[in-house]
Amino acid sequence: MNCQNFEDLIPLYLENKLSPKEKEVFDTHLQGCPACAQALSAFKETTELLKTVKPDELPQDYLQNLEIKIALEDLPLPELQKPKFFRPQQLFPAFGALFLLLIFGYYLRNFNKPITVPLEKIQNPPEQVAQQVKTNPPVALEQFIETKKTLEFAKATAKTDFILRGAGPKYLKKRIIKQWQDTSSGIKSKKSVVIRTQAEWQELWEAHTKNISPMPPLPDVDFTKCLVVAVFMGEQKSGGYGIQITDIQESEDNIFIEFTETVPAKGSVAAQQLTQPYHIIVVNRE
Amino acid sequence: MPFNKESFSELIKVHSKEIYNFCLYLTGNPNDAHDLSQDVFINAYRSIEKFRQDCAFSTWLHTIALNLYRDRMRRRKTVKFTPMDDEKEFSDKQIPVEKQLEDSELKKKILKSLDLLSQEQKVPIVLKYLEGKSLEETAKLCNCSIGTVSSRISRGIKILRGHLK
Repeated sequence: MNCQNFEDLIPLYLENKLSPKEKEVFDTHLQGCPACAQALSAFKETTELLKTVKPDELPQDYLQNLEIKIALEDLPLPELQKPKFFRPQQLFPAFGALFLLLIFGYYLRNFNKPITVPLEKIQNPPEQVAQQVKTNPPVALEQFIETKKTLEFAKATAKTDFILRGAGPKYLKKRIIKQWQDTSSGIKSKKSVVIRTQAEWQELWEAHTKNISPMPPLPDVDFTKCLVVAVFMGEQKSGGYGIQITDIQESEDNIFIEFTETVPAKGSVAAQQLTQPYHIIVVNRE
Repeated sequence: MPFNKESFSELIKVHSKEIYNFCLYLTGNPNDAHDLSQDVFINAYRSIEKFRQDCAFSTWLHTIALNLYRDRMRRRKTVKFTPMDDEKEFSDKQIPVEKQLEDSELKKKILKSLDLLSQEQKVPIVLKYLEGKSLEETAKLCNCSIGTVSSRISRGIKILRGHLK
């Protein structure tokens, strides 16, 4: 028997719960081990001390409190509300979720759309596109024109085949220096010209003013710095016609002349005379 | 005495002091002892029909008290409350003042030392030496053999002695 075993048996020993054999071993160890004898007496001392502890009196009102609590136990419990399975408040998150779903759906709706119409059209075979032209309303036609340009641009071997207006390294909007505009000209056919030399200018001026005598002097144009752009509408049967250059643009290799033709409105009264509207302008080369 | 709801207040009168003190030894402070012991009686009242009379009513109350106590300790395992001022709580009117003071001081010291023991050691010591139960009863209430109770008591007392010195 070691000392730990001995100590574990102390309460049993003191209560006489050990079997005779165990008691014998216990006694033997007790006599041979002063430390354990010491432990036994210490144990006795401590437990005696514990036994001196007197029970406390009940706190004041203890029994009254207890009576009240027990009386409360007997009261019928207020009927608990049946748990409702459905409450309107529960719908709020559902509405929120639905709303989010709708927004998400709206977002997705735009998601699959092509960024531009031409891109979509490029994928169509040209024949199909051509068919569309016949049947589609004017708006679609406009789209088609764009498409065709894009298509051809995509197919073009040399980029110079193409005119990209409003862009490019040498893009310029020309400012008008001098201009002549009227409805009476010697040039009776519809045409537009760009004149870069004095000789051409002379020729045009003579053709233009051949009905006037004496011929007005050739206006002075410095062709080293300037060039002349002229548009003629051709001979018209009544007044009310007009032509006007609205925009001149020069890109790297081309000059664009944009002009507006005006015609008399249907049913309006116009002067009954032959007119040849024209517009001649002088612009800077660079 | 019949064990039913009608005679329960009589039962309370008989056992309240014993159970209150038992709870006091377990919890170590009068406030917790008050709450715990009252809960013991309320629980007993609720389930008095289930009392099979195969043990003493007092033992049954002790069992309830122990279960509730273990339950509470489990719930507030991390937090242990030590009351700051419990000087006046241990008053006992029948004993002369000097003796009362001495006893009270000793009791306070013992309760504090008990509180430092583990639950396993504290419960059998309380039952055996403070409540005066037999080793067999203690073993039954602790759900273990008397051999186990013996060794737990012995080790607990050793630690307690260290604290009381």
